[in-house]
Amino acid sequence: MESLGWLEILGRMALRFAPVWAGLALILGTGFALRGRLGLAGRLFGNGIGLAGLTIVLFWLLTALFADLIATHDPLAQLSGLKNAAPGSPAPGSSYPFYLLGGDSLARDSFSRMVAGARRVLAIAPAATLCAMAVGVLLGLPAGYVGGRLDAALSFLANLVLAFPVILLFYLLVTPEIRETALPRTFAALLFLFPLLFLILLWHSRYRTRARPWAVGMIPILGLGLWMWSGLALDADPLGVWRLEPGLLTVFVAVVFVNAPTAFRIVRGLALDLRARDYVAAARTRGEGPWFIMLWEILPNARGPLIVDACLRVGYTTILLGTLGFFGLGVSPESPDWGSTINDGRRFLAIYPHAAVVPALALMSLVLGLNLLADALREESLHD
Amino acid sequence: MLGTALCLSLLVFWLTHLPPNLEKLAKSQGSARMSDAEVASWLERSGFDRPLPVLYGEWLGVLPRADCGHCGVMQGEWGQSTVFRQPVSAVILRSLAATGWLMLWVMAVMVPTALALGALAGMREGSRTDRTISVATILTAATPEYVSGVVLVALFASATAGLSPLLHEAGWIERRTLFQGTASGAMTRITFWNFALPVATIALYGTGYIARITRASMAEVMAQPYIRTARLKGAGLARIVLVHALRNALVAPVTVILLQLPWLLNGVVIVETLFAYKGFGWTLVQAAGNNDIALLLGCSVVAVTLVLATQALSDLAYRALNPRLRVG
Amino acid sequence: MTEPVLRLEGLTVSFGTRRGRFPAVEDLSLAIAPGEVLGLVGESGSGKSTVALAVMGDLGPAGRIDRGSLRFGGRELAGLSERALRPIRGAGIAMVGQEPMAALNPSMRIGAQLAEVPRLHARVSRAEARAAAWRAAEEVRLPDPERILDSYPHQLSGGQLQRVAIAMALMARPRLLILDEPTTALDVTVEAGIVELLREIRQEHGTSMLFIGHNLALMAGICDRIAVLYSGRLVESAPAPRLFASPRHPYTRALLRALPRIEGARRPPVPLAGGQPLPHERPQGCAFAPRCGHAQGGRCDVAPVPLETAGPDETVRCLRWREIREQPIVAEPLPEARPGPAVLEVEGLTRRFRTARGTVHAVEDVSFSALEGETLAIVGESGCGKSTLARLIMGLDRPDAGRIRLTGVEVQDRPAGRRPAALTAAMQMVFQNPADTLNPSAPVGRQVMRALELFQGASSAASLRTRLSELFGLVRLPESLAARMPRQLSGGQRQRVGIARALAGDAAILVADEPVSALDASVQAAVIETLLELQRIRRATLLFISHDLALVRQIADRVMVMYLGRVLEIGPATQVFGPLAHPYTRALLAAAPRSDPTAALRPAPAGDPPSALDPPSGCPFHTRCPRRAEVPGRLCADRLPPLAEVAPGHAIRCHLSPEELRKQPPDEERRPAAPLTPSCRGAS
Ligand SMILES: Nc1ncnc2c1ncn2[C@@H]1O[C@H](COP(=O)(O)OP(=O)(O)OP(=O)(O)O)[C@@H](O)[C@H]1O
Ligand code: SF4
Ligand code: SF4
Ligand SMILES: [Mg+2]
Repeated sequence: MESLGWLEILGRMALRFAPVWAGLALILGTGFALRGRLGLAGRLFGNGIGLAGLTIVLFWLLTALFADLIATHDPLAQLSGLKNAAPGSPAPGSSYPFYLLGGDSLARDSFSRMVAGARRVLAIAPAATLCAMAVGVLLGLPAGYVGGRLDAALSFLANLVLAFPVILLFYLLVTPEIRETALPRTFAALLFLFPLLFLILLWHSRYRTRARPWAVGMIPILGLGLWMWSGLALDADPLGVWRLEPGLLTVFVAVVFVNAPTAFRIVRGLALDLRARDYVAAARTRGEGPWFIMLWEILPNARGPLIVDACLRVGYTTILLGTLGFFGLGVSPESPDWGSTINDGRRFLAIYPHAAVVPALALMSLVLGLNLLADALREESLHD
Repeated sequence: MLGTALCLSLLVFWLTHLPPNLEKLAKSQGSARMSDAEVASWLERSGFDRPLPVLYGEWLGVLPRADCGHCGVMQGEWGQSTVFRQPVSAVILRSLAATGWLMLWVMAVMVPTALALGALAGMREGSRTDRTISVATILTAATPEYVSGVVLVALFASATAGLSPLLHEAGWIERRTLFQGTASGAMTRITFWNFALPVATIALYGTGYIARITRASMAEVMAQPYIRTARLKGAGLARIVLVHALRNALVAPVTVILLQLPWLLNGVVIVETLFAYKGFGWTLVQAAGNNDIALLLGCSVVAVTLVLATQALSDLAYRALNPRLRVG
Repeated sequence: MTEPVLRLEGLTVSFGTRRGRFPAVEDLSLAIAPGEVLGLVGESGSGKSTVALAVMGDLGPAGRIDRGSLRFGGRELAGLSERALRPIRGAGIAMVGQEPMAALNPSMRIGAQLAEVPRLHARVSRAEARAAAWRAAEEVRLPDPERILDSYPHQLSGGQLQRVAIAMALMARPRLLILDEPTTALDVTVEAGIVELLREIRQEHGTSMLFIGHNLALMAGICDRIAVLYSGRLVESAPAPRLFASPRHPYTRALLRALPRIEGARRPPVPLAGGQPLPHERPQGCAFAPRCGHAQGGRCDVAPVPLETAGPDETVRCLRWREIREQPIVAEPLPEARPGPAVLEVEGLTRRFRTARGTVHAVEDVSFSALEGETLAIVGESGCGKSTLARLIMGLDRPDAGRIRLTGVEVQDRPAGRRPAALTAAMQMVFQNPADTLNPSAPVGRQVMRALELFQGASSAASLRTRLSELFGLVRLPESLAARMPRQLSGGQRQRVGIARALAGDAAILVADEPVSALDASVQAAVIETLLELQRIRRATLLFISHDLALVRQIADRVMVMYLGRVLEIGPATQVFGPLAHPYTRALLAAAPRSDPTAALRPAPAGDPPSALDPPSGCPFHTRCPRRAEVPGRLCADRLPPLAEVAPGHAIRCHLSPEELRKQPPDEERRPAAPLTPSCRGAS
């Protein structure tokens, strides 16, 4: 069989992405039709940069969702003879007749590994961002709102973590040796408590005066939350639904740990700014508790910058995950994530660049999309 | 500041002296097939079985050691590197010097470019120049060093892809590649061909980031009433930008550039690994990868000190640039 | 007739936004003669600033002159390029804005900023420019020019900065000076000084001025002619005395009625219902029709109303101006308050803030009590501690010393949130800034509902909803607004929601910190009316904090005057505004603008208030007191006078005896009781 030319490769790839195109058309079409009623999100449709960012991000989200349909091969399967194969090389006797983007140094399909890598990144990065933001919110709000010694103590802790160059932190935290200690589990137990605590406080402060709605919300929050927490953090889910493998847990904890202090700083700054508002004073004079004021008076008005920050942060987390992979930290050797694929590929970079360039471009485009989106969101919320 | 440094060093000390790390150290120094009992006895012989505060005190130099009295970090005794079989201080000094050159060039390229681009874009918000620069800077700020490094090498230093084969065939260059894919040669002699790619790789990311901040700051300043005052006085655009806007607009970016240094350290680690340049970052990776506890501790102390120093420096710069905060 | 300095002919300006182009100013024709001061008044959003920026050729990328001409000394300005405009800016026309601090470059010394003007326009040497800056600083009566020229803007006070801005505008001797609300950000005393300076400048140099403002009373004192803008259109223009004596347009009449008057004791301003439409939301026909008491259906609401000439140099845009012969409306005098027992007692309250530069004495040893059913006004210049006092009382801040008794219970050690629910409900606060008083991300109804839930938690959901609609009715808001977000309401409406929220627990005491100072005059009067009515119905106590002496005189039962954290005088309003008053109270009264162009000029009190950072020893007012010389020796500078009772319920902190205080000082001009302007004479 002949190797494919570049045009053919592109055509075949476009075909493989069919489910993504369909999803994109559906989502963007609906969004465009309803843009008048979508508020800030709707205004993205009138902003070139925003639309570009949204499209790229959605593209990767859908790719992650439909990864099984898109991938041509098993990302771990090695086909003899296709070691470092050029893009478009024929792959006879496998699930698809070609290695569309070539093979890597272990004769695995680069295209499928890229697609599988998207799923891995998008499973971790948003969740880790949310977790870090929960930590940032729950510590940053009191630091900014209450101030004083509490602020000094929390800020000191945050600065402590921030003073570590990220890579050093990773080399200290994400090692096989650390995984043998109880450290990751303890950290996870603590960090995963924050999102749960956030929901509990949110609900309690709002409905503490009214028993019915209080109970209606609190029971599912507590039940579901504790169940997930015990499974994910302690690996003690009696039903076995929620589980995180130890390697992933360490990576997750490390990424949250690195992100939390900056999230804290941003939330703290916003709270510091918003606490002087009259409506906060009004809430205090009518006897509201501090958590109501922080979560219901301050937080909703900080949402603009926080959404922008969340976008940027998912991108940053993607970069961090790539960094971990690049240094071979916390990932199994055959993992298809982009960072380790780049790392594997760079050894033959000068001769067979495609194995490293493919995941590199994928990672870059996802982060680019997120940054464009954040930029447009910031611009649109400023010009309100 | 001193408290922070102490806390941080204690933290690093604790993390590097966790039991599994020590066990690994024992096995690498003794033999890989040591039994648990042998490991324990090795640790006892080397003194690692004593409580952590004592070890930390000895390392710091506030507690006396059996062999040499007070000989710790404070006395300049950083211990012996197990990987390089040399004193830690010598290894670190050598690598810092190498990294210093890298940083110098990065700064020399990055800072002027970033400030100029940012100021140009923020001068007229929404103009075509602004949009072009904005998209370009968002792009580079979205490209981590391990991506841009890979792409740059593929483009300029690959014998099979990118520009080099074309140039070579056309007979424009003698070598197989335009730039060199490694910077190990730069350890002895820095040339444009072996140093441009590593410098560009680090500078790209930082340029985008700093230019974004400069642009935002510049745009904000240009919307201030005092710029209108200057315009209504009859001042021209050049004068407005240079005399009235620039100084006020530079406060934020200068602070950020300094705070950016720690992140630069990240880039340094990646780039030195990628281009096999034996500087500080490369040494750090060697130390961590080979469980060289003394060297890792030394690197950490240097890195953290660097970060704290830049934080203090950025504070000073902020004060110096902002007359409101100057005393008197 | 001589050629006017500036002539606008049919000027139409629009702004492009992403939702389309909106007109800001339509068909505006005006002329300013050499040496003339033209006042341009209008509520916020009426297009005043747009006019100024159009003249300066600085509308920005969004703004555009659609039609009309702008002739400056016979030269057409519309369509000139940036480069061609440059020599005119500064040298021909200069502008002074509202925020002096923002208008000066924070990182450049004052001297350099001033010297830049001659360097730009006259190409003089550095030394000459510096000398010119020195002269300019002296010309605007800046004390110690040497020091000021060497300072950065943040080292000067607001009044000094505005003088610097004026000096800068005058340096190239422009023929036209545009002043866009030059005193809005300043205290009355400082404002009076700036107005005096402007008058002198005009006399000395004959500079023409376009004075933009929203406060008619202030303009009465300086403008020759006044033009009234409504919703982007000129509705009336006339010489100032004529305009005040017999306004023609119903809007001008309403504005004058809503104007707080320093001479109108215990007569609240008359409100004007509704709000000004934005230029693009104007109804067909007369833009004022929805709010006009004389509107005739089928006549006023069909076609745009043309501008008519009503006399020499007088125009009016109303179809019925010839027919309207209304009796000037004046509000009923407020009934005498029948105060009950004391509900709030404050004793020796002190709050100091330790800052990097020293200790700020925000509130020093303040004692007073507020009685049931009365309006107690707290007045003073900015920075005198009014808001800190309110925050202390509300428990938003902790006092360093002193006692606060709320209906007999001591609460000084219980910050807001730790006070028993009943006490919390009993005293509530109304805030100053309508943009800030409501949480921007929750519907306004839900915010009031939340207060109801807290204060009346035991009630059923249905009864809470009934209470909500009652409250909305009470503050005269349609219930349909409950579902709106704050940004969808006007400033006045938001303040009403704020009042409704404060009333959710049937508050017995309302602490209102400048509740109307951010509102336009016509809206201001309406909110005041609501507050007073509630007080009457519920016999609530109103603690009314304000810097607007005219308004205070119109509505307060008792007045407390504060200066640098201390009470200088407290007593019944009739007495505080009467012949026996503290020298500072007198100075404040003298500085308050009179809405009467014929009123005699009064000297403005000297100097800026000293900083509360290190208040002067002795009598806090002694650095500015005009009567200090009458006290023997250094008593005023050395010893703090006690707050001594001079009449029942009336106490003054001064070393002068009541008899001496009652005597007018020889140099102060004796004014007859201020003559009421004709439009207000009516019921009196
Ligand atoms: N840059 C702009 N873009 C869009 N609309 C504008 C812009 N500047 C002013 N406008 C609109 O023009 C109208 C008049 O504005 P202008 O600021 O001149 O009013 P003003 O009377 O000076 O108000 P204020 O007293 O609040 O300063 C308003 O409706 C305003 O929203
Ligand atoms: S034209 Fe009619 S509505 Fe307009 S001001 Fe005159 S009377 Fe009132
Ligand atoms: S005590 Fe002296 S300085 Fe103070 S107000 Fe009286 S006369 Fe003036
Ligand atoms: Mg204005």
